[in-house]
Order: sequence, then C-alpha cells, then structure tokens
Amino acid sequence: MRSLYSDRRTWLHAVPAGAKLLAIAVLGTAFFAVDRPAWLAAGAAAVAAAFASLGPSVRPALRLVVSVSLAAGLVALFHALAGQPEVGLVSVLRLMSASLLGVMLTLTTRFDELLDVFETLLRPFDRLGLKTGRLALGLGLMLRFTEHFFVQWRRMDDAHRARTGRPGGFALLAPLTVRMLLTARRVADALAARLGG
Amino acid sequence: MTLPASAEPGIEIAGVTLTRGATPVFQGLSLSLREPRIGLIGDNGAGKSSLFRLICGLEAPASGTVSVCGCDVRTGRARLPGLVGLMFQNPDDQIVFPTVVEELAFSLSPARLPRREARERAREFLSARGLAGWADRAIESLSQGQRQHVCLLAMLIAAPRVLLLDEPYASLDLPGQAALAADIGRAGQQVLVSTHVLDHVRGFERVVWIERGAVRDDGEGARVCAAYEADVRARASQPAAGAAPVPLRACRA
Repeated sequence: MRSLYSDRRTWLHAVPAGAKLLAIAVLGTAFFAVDRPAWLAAGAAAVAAAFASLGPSVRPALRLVVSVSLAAGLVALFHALAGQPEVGLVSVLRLMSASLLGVMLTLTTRFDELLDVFETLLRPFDRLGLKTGRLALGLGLMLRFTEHFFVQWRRMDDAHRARTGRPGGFALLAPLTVRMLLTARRVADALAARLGG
Repeated sequence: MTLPASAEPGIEIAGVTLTRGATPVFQGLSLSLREPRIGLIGDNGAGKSSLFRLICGLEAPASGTVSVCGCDVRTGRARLPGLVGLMFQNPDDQIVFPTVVEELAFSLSPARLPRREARERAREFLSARGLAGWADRAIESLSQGQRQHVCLLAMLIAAPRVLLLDEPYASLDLPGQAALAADIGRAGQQVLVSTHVLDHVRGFERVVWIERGAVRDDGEGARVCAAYEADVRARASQPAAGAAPVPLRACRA
C-alpha cells in the first residue's frame, strides 16, 4: 500500500500518536460546535500555521491539500450562488481545518503507533472475548486505505493527463473503485498469508 | 544445503483440483517438492501463482491435499506463517506499513511478541545486514528494487521454512536482480521461485515447467529451461492464422 508518511522528521513526529488523535477529536468537535465565522477563521489560521510549521515534510500531501481546497472552493461557490455566503464560509473553514488536521496526522504518524493507541482503547473488550488486535488492525487499515486511495487516484490522474492532456475528474471514479477493490483483496491475501488467516 | 533437522521438509501436493469460477486451474495435480531450490516456469496463466496460493493456504482445493513440512494447509492455517512465506509480484500489495521497521516488525506478530520488542528485533535484524539506516525510512522513499528487498526481509525475519517468490525479478533492474539472486542463494530455507527470467533458475537442481495447470516437464534446471525456450521459439515462429504484420503508421499529431 502506498502512503503519505514523511520520514523527514518534524516536531509533530515526536508527539505521541494518542495525543494527536485526541487533539483531532477535540478540535474536530470544536470546529463543528462553533459556528461564528471569526472564531472558525482564527482556528483555521492556527491549524494552517501548524501545517506550515512542518516545512518541506508536507510535500507528499500538497496535492491532496490543493484538491481539498478546490473542493472547498466549489462548496463556497455553491453556497454563494444559493445566497448564503456565510454558510459557505463556515463550511469551507470547517472542511479545510479538519482535512489539514487529518493530513498532519498521516504525514507524521507511524502506523504501529496508531495501532498501539487503538489496541489500548479496545483493551476492555478483550474480556468479552473479542480479538481486539485484529479489530485495531481493521480500524488502522481503514485509515491506511484512505491514504492509499488518494495516492492511487493521483497516479491514475497522472496517467489520464499523460494520455489526454486533461485531468481525469469523475471519469476516474469507476476505474479507481475497481482498482481499490482489487487492492483490498490483494492486501487481504497478503495479511492472510502473513498472519495465518 | 540442508533444512533444519527438526522440520519434515518439503511440500506435498496430492491429487489437487482447483477451479476458479467455471475455469479449471488444476485437475488432479500431484507434486512432491523437496529440493532446496526449485524454479517454476511457464507462460502467464499457466498456474504458477495459483500453485503458490495453494501452498500458503490462500486457495482451498476442491479436492486433494496440500501440506507444507507435514502441516495440512487447510487445517493448520494458524501454523502456516511460521512455515511458509510468500512474496507477491507487486511489493505495493504486500507492504502495509509506511516505514521499513514497522513492516518488518509486523512479520513477527504471529509470534505474539509485544510491538516494542518486535520493533527492536526488526532494528537488530536490519543492523545485522548493514541496513540500520533503512529502519525509519518511509517506504515511499524507496526504489522499486528496495521495496522488493523490504518484502524479502519481511519474509526472512519471520524465519519460515519455505520461501515462495512469485516473479520476484519482474520489475527489477539488473543490479536489483543480481542482489536478489544473491539473497536467494544465501537463504537457509527451501526456496521456490516462479519467473520468466530463466537465467536465475537455470542452475537450480530442479525446475518445473507448468502448462495449462499441468506439469509439462520436470527435472534438472538447464534441461527444462532449454526445453521451454525451444517450445516458445517453435510457437513464435508459427504466426497465428490471419495475423498479418501491422505496418507502422505515421503520427498524426
């Protein structure tokens, strides 16, 4: 599976994965609880500053950020046309902040640190006889596939541009879905072979 | 080269029938694979990958049995990762973790080692091979050959008795191929390699040529490879009916 993790160390690499996940949970909830644009703008600016502080390590994810920005732009445009520019602004600030937080986690957190956190959180269910190790791996893989999804899309978009001179857009949706399903099966096979099914 | 004395060495495939959808892949295939180095050759779609999938329990035969070191692959799934490792054609399908050390440590999870200890073991394993600098590198920053190497290391650290390598040379440059061939040469395990790069298996004491799900030839590497090459040459010299050479067209751009 492809990934966006950056091995160029930053201050955020040293922060424990649990703290990062907690920050995302708290800030993510706060961004949705608050609806005053000025507060949201201040929060988004702080998140953007934190993102920028990672320096060149953010390079693997720049295209992802640009794609999210374009999507945010469309959302804003839609709301502006519908006569609700303020709703648009709030949506854009929330979308961008949440995305940047997620990207920062992905860029700077190793997968086994995330698994450690999930396993610790799921430990109480051990007593109920649940295989929490596998459950944690499942949750972690969900996050890994999101990353892989993006990297795969970027490669297909490059191929589309090389052949047609235009970005792929929605035309990539069906082939991307097929590709992802195939990847899911192969990864499942690799895991079954390594873990004993 | 000898296998550990404690192991009941080898792979036994007895009367295996495997169908995929409506297509039969193997019909009553039997093979006893005991030599330390075995090559698998044959056209694409002949059944080489399916054979590997059977051996590591990813495919269940409709009838017949497959056993590795005396362990039936259908009933002993949980023991299999300690007995047999499979390297897939494409490293991207196999590597789950974003850094090298995590990927190697993950191979130790069937051994139920605590994660921290597994990571330490992975670091030691890399250092012992002069690759300490790789531990914290992102997989994305490695070349295709290096990723393939990570897959091989991830398989070696689990120390299975049998290594299955599915077209490992397919996307490697020549130095990468030479390095992988040297690694295979050094491995203490039984190694099965499926490949189209025949030079890497020509020196093996045994090569099995698979054609449409059956063994077409089986024996000493140089002889079987030569027979396969002669067959391919004979087929290539008979143009398919109605296939006229296509003239090149000028670019219209």
